[in-house]
Amino acid sequence: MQSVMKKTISDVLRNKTFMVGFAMILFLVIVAVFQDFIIPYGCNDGNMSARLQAPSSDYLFGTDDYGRDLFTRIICGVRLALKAAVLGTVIELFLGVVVGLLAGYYGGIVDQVLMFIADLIWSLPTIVVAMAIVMLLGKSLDNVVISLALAGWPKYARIVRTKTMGIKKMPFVETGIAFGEKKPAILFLYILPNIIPSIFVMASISMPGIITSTATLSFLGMGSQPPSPDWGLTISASASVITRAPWMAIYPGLALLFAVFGFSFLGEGLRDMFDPNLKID
Amino acid sequence: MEDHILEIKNLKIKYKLKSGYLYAVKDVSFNVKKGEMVAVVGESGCGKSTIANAIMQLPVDGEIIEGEILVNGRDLNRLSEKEMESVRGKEIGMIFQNPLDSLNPVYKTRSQITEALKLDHIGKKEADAIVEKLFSSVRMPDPRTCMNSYPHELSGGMRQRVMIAMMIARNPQFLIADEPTTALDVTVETQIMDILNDMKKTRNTSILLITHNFGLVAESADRIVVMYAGQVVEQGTVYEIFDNPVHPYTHMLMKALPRKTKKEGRLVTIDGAVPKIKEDVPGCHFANRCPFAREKCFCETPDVQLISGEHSFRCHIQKEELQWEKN
Repeated sequence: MQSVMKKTISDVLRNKTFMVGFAMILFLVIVAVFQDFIIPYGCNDGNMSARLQAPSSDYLFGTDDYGRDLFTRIICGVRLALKAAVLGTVIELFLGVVVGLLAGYYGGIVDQVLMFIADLIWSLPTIVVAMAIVMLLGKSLDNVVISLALAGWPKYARIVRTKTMGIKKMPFVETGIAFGEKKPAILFLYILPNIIPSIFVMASISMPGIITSTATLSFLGMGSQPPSPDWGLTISASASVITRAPWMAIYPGLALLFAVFGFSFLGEGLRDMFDPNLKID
Repeated sequence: MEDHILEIKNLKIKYKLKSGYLYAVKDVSFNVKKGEMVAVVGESGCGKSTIANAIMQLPVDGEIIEGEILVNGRDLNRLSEKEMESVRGKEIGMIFQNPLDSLNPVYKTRSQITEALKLDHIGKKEADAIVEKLFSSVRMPDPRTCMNSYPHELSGGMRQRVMIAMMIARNPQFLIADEPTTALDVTVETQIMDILNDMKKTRNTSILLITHNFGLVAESADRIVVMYAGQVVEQGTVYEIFDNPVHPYTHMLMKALPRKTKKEGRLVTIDGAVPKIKEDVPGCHFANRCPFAREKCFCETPDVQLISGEHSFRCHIQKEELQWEKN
């Protein structure tokens, strides 16, 4: 792994798509970390006499229906968006990788049972499944993220399973067996390290999707609850006043676009680098 | 037997296909004594690699093994997977043909071996020292650098040396070398064979060499087992086989070898190809390519005839009748 990484650091810097995406996400991370130094007002500070005001020098992006500075609200929402993206992807991939590895490596009844469950979940639209789970767990951002992960892992399980079955057949795995390694060791020391590049690629695909889906469910009222500065929630609240204060819908929308594009470029850049250059795959 | 490290008795291996079976090995018996190198030779498809994999009990889809594979008196065919795991690497080592694909690409060469030495509860520092010594004993140029390299950074010869080092790391008494030099060039081949010969002499390791290269065999092996289409057609000491090949196939193989002396004429070849056996019918499988074939050869499986000591062959025809023109 490390040698392949070493060689491609210079390739990374040359890969424009990746660098743009990386810069965008880095920007978001910095904003999230230094949130308290950037915002001119408190996250939930509202002034009812300043409701639905157009962007001005006092309120960069205008105000929302509670008189809260929209710029502040957007910045406060960055942490939520990033948290959702990371948490959701981690859970989704963890489940997908574990299931895929077990199904691909052990085969037989284990494979059949796991893939049956995966196919069952996968055959239903992700958002619908996620909504059903949120209904059970209760409405909150965390629950939305968990639900999306529970609804979304099957597609990664399939990929990991196929890769595992492919690696299992490779000669160096036979060498390991001939050497006397036990089955769990083969799985974790031989097969897993060889699918790590794929995991990076899958993560890059997962993140933009999670952000969009989280925003969608928050928009529908199933995720973050008021007064959370969640972007989806803000857009939802703007629906009734959109003719009077379009900025309340536009800026959160732009923020979402920025985040999704950032992760998408990052992912595309990663895929460019990992797929053709990597000899392992 | 006390001095035998490997005894194969009536080994039969077949694979279950969608329609019927493929008979890869039909009734093979031979032994390897301690400290001896036995070469199993034959064309591609004769079943020699199948036997090597069967000894190690490496899992293959649809494979059915009958007969006895005794290593140190224990029948490996009867062991559970767990018991077999403790035999592999420790009692028997195996070197494979293609060194690149046979080494894990994500680990440095030293890590592959130190990771595995953990099986013997050897700590990292001690393991590192062992690896360095091993690399020197397999004549690795610059052991330290090689230890910290990845497989794709090394040449074919060096990778094969890593593989050998890995497989002898746990000091197995018995080593199976499955076409260890086929993917390497001739100069490297000599070096690898030197290493194997060294091990035989200094560590008293028994070696089963699987190859289709008679040259290697002549240099290094003590005894030869000649296989054709899943059966042993002749076996004996290296001198017996080279000086006095009896079975028509062995004789023709010898003649097909390029000679050092320059002679007129083309290289002798044997017409036809090794058949894949899909039915368990009796008869000599070499009959259709054999110049001495008689009617009996096509319908009855020949028995093994003993010529002397350890020299035996499988044929219907008596040794005296197998006359060849003097070349």
